[in-house]
This record gives sequence, C-alpha cells and structure tokens, in this order.
Amino acid sequence: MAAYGTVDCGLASLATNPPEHLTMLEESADALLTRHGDVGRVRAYRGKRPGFDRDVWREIAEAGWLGVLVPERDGGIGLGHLELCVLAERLGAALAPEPYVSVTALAISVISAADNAEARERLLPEALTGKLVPALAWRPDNGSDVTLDRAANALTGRKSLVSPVAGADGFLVSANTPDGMAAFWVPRDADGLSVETDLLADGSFSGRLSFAGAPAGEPLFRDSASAGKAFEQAVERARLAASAEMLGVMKQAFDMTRDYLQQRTQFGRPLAGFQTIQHRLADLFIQHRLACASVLEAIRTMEGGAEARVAAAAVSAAKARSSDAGLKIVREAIQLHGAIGYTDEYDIGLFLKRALVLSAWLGNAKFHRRRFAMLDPVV
Amino acid sequence: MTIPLDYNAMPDDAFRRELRAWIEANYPEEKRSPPRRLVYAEIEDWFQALSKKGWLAPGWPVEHGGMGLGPSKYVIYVEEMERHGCARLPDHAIQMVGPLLINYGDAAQKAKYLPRILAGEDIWCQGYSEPNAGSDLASLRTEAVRDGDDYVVNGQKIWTTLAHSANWIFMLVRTDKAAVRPQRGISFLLAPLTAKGVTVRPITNLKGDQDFCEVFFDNVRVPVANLVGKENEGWAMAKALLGYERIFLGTPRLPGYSLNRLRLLCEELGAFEDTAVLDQFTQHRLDVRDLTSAFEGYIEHIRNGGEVGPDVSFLKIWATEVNQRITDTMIEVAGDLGGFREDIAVGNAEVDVMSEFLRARTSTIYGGSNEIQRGVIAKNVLGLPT
Repeated sequence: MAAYGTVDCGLASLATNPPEHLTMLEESADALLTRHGDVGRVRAYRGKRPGFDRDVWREIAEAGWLGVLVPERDGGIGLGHLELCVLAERLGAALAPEPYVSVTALAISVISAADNAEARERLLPEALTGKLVPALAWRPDNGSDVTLDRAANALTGRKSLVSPVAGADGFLVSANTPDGMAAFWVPRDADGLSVETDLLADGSFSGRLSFAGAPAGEPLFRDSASAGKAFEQAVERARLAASAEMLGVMKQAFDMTRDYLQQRTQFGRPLAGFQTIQHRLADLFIQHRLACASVLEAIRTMEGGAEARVAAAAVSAAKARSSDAGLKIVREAIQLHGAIGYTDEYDIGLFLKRALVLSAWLGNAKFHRRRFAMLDPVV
Repeated sequence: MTIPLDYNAMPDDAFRRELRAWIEANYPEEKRSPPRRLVYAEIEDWFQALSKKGWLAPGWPVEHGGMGLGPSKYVIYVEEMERHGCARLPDHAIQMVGPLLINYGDAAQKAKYLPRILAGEDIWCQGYSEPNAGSDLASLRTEAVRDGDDYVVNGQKIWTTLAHSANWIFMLVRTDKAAVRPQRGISFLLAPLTAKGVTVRPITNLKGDQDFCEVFFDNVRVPVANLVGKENEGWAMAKALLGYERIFLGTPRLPGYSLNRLRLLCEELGAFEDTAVLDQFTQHRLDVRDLTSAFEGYIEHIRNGGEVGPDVSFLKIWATEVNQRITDTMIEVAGDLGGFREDIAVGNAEVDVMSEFLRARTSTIYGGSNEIQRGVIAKNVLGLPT
C-alpha cells in the first residue's frame, strides 16, 4: 500500500485507521485483475454479449467480493463499505468490464435484504457463487412503470436503465401494487418479458425491459416499507461504489498521462518539464485527492449509522465530486496526450468512455448537487 | 511552584473541553472574528490572559514556558481557537522566533528573548521577502557585513507583516555573496527595530488597511551576538522551521467564513429563489465540505503520528481558491451594490462583500503563492522534472 500523501495513494492509503486486511484486499484485487490482461481487455467485450468474461466473474465470486456486504451467516464475507469501495476502485483502475458494482451493490444488496426466506435462500447462493447474474430493475421507463396484476399475479409495464443487462440471468423488478411497492424475481427467459439493449459509450449495455403479463412469482418482501428500504439502501450503496470506481478510473488515467508526459519529448525536453503542464497535472492531483476525501467521508457516514437522509446527502456529495473530478481528469488526459489520445488504439480513450458512463449512471454531478441541497437545505 | 500539566497525557475530549471553557470565559466577545489582522495594542488583553495562563505558546517545550503540545493536542488547540473566532495574535515570535531559538539559539539568546516574548514585552516581525526576492527568496540581497563585534546591515525588506507595531525583527541576510549556491550565503539575524538606521514604512493594501510594511536598513549595526546558529547556515534553519503547522494554511475556516457571509447575503436578498444562485451556492458548499473532509483526514493522519508531506499544498491551493470563488459570487449576487466599498446593508444585515472579496486576494499569494505550491506538488509529489 502506498504511503499517505504520495502520488500512488488511493482510498486504502488515505483511509483513517484502515483495517489490516485492506492492504491484502487491494493487492489481491490488483493481482486477480492484472492476471487477465491490462486495461485494453475491455476492447474484446465492447458491444458484444454478455459484455464481460464469465471466467473472471467466477474468480471474483470465488474471492468473495460479490458478498462483501453480505453477512457471513448468509454466505458473504461480511465486510463494510470501505472494502466495497476499495474493490470498486481497483476494478475502476483496471477498467474491468465485469459489472461488479451493479450486481453487488444493487442486486445482491436487495436479494440479501429480502425477507422472503425461500426466495433469498434460492437466489443468494447462486448469485454469490457467480452462477447467476442478477440485475436490479428499479427505474420506470419514461413515466411508464411496472404494475402487478394481482388476479393474474403477472407484471405489466416498462423499466429502463437496467444494468447489467446483456449478461443478466434475471431481474429483481420493483412493481406498483395496491399495497404500495413490491419486488419480484423474473428470470430473463420468462414469458411476457422482452429485453432490449442500448449501447453505452464504453461498449457496455443499458437495458429496457417490457413486461406484458410476465409471471411475478412470490414477492421478495413482506411489505412495501421493507421493499422500499432495501431498494433505497441498494441504490445508495451503488452510488457510493460507483463513485469509488470512478476514483480508480481517474487515478489510472492520471497516472498514464503523467507517465506519457514524462516520456514524450518535444522541443528537446520531456513535456512534463514544462510548467504549464506541471500546473495542470497538479490541479488534477488535487481533484483526485478531493474526490477521495469525499468518498471516504461518505463511507464514514454510511458506516457510522447516520440517519438515512444524512447518509444520502454524503453519498450525493461524493457522487457529485467524483463525477466532476473524473470527467475533468479524463478530458484533460485526452488533451495532454495530443492526437494519439484521440485514437481508438491508444488506451487513454477507454478511460474517457468509462468515465462518461460512470458519471451519468445513478445521477450525474448536477443531479447530485441538487439532491444534496434538497436533503440538507440551507434554509 | 506548581508542576506544569502534561497536556499530552490528557484525553483529547477533556483537553478540548478545558480549552473551550476557558476560551469562552476569557476571550473578549467584541473581538471575535475580526475582519483584519489586529496589532498588539488591540489584542493585548487576550495576549496577556493567554500569557498568564501559560497558554500563549502551545508548541514550545514546557521548560521554555510553552504548553509542550504534541501534534495531536496542538491541532485541538488551533481548532478551538478557530471555532471561537479568536483573532490571530501578532504571533511571529511564538510561531517562528521561539522555535528558531529553542532549536538553534545559544543559552544567552534563549534566556534573553524567550521570556520577553511570553510577557508581550517584545513584538517580533519576520524579515524574509525583499523587493526582488519574493517567491525566489534565496536571491535576497539585504547584506550583513562583519565589522568587529557587529554586523553592518544594508538593504530592504518588504511585505513585513505588522512591522509598524513590532520592536524586533528576525531576518534572513546575505553574509556571503560569493557562495556557490545563493542558499549557502544566508544567515539568521535578530535586529531591534529601534536601532539607528532602521526605517519602517507601512504599506496601505487594497482594503485600505496597513497590515504590512517596508523596512529599510541603512548602515544598521547589529551585534554579532544576535546571529542565530552559524554564519551562512540560515537557509537550512528557515526551511526546518516549516513544520506541520503549515497544514493550517489550508484550513476550511476562511472559505467557511466567506460561505456564511454569502449565505446571509443570499437570504437577505431572497437570492436562493433563483435556481442558478442556489446551484452556485451548493457548488461552493460542496467545495468547502470536501475541503473539510480532506483537511480532517490530513489532521487525523498527523494525529496518528504521520508526517506532513509536500502533498499538503493541495489543501492551501483548494482552500484559498474556493474562498476566492465564493467572494466572486458575493460580488455577483450583490448586483448593483457589488461595487460598494463599505459593508452593504441588505434586509436586516450588513454584509462585508468588498472586504471579503479583497481579503481573499491575499490568500493565494501569501504562505508560498499558489503557483509555487503547484510547483511543489508537481516536483515533490508527482516527481516531474525540475
């Protein structure tokens, strides 16, 4: 683990009193991911289903990462948000195409919280071992949401912005019922479900689901309140973890750019020797440090048992900062690379595209600044 | 004689409570959060109260009359002073001269100067910058030439904060013009401002205040006994004096204060009805919030025995530039009143718009300009070529 304050430090190095296992977690994550290739690995999956490597997914599952927040008695490894974020950060730095944050923070969080024990015990082990890739479908599509036809116990309506989608084996779907919100598990090949995909900038997919009388099965939660709470918690976790993933993306893009500028010679000296370049790199370093601080603050707040509103405000602050900082760094990274940065062949562009997707996902910076102001109003 | 308390052995909370209670009971209410640096005469009562309590010099060792605080307790001391809005004292002697003499001074110098500093009998100012030696301090040219038992000093210092209310100056002077590197020919000298040949001229700043001065030396005779440490070794001592306290250049207090003023202005003007203003304000809030998180993270690192590295510059850069952006917004929100020189009356409040805007200009310049700080990050953190 890098020493505090050095150029190499990330979340684990900057965390206050980090647990001893954090270094090991960080190192084993880097080792697992680099074993399968460098950041260019993502190219092979762009626009292709399922969009990631099932073997890598299995290894991630074997390492226990999918159950990082799941209690040990339920088959997880029972760690906290700091560990979730360090893992997300390492996946971000590797530009891993595997949908770790969405599956772990969104889908598995909800499955793990389900109070329908039969459904939980059926789905959770499958999900934790990587055999089943679940996705959370919680966003209505243009105002049209999914509703439960109680008589037929079937779902009708649409969901959007579902992730993962191309490699998902089924969906945890929120639906309106006369008693409020309920959640159901719908396998991908269920009758009455059609899945469409939209290609994202980084080559991954976003999903639109149409339900036309798809069988709903048993609800995962006994009442609307517990379902709502589980979904909210999952979304906050995912926003936090996505912010951490962005930390990895921005830091790796920054490091690549710094290395490039030290090697690239013009006018008889390395570009990194020019003060105009040095000051811009210093500004990008500052952005990364601020984003780390903001994410660590959100982790502390989530871990510290703060009331939901306070935790949500901290998460919004982190998502806003990491989105802004990430986009700033990758934009500057392209400019500082010059023409080579605009080629598809050179890796730096992969960071730009991942950052664009991550910053827009689950609310961009502007959305989260306004949400912060709403959750923690000045007057 | 009472045995001095070992504050470092106290639990943090107890230490904080004791400080807080005493500050609240003793700090003059009307002097909370003053808009400018106060001179000694304006803050003498507080200075003397701290002095009598033995709390004037938190970082000095106990045997020299300080509190002997280690970094973690020192941080609490500063936090509590800032929290209450205590004015910054004329503290060059406490921050710099004390540590300089304690580390490098001889026995006679310690015995002569330290008690007078603690008693408020001597007020010191810092003679570093010169007209042609600002960011490039090592190029300084104020000269001290040995003549018998004296040095004869000629030259000029500038941006000397509060020199007009001080009676002593600790200064860097050139004692070897032929040194291979300019840093090698510099010495630390202590000079009375009452000496013949010294002229102090206050400089009016953009706010209209006189915080800093020019100090001229015209054949001023300073005894060789006033040399601190060895001749030509002043530069290394000056660098060593930059301790962990420099983290406080990046305190969130300054932008936090400006943010509160901006909030008051917006509330009184009803400006939060305007979504664009509210968005801008929220951006500033988050800028200060994330600075606070980063600052507190760094403080924790120091508390846990960590070093202050060159990366600490990022706090100063961000704190001061956020502060400036907030005051830019104050001017904008003030609208037609944005050009008023005095505090502006809005609703039930008076807001120091211009004063805050102008004050914020200095913060990116002092303590190592932000350009210098970026250079420090580039070279000493990012490892970019010099």
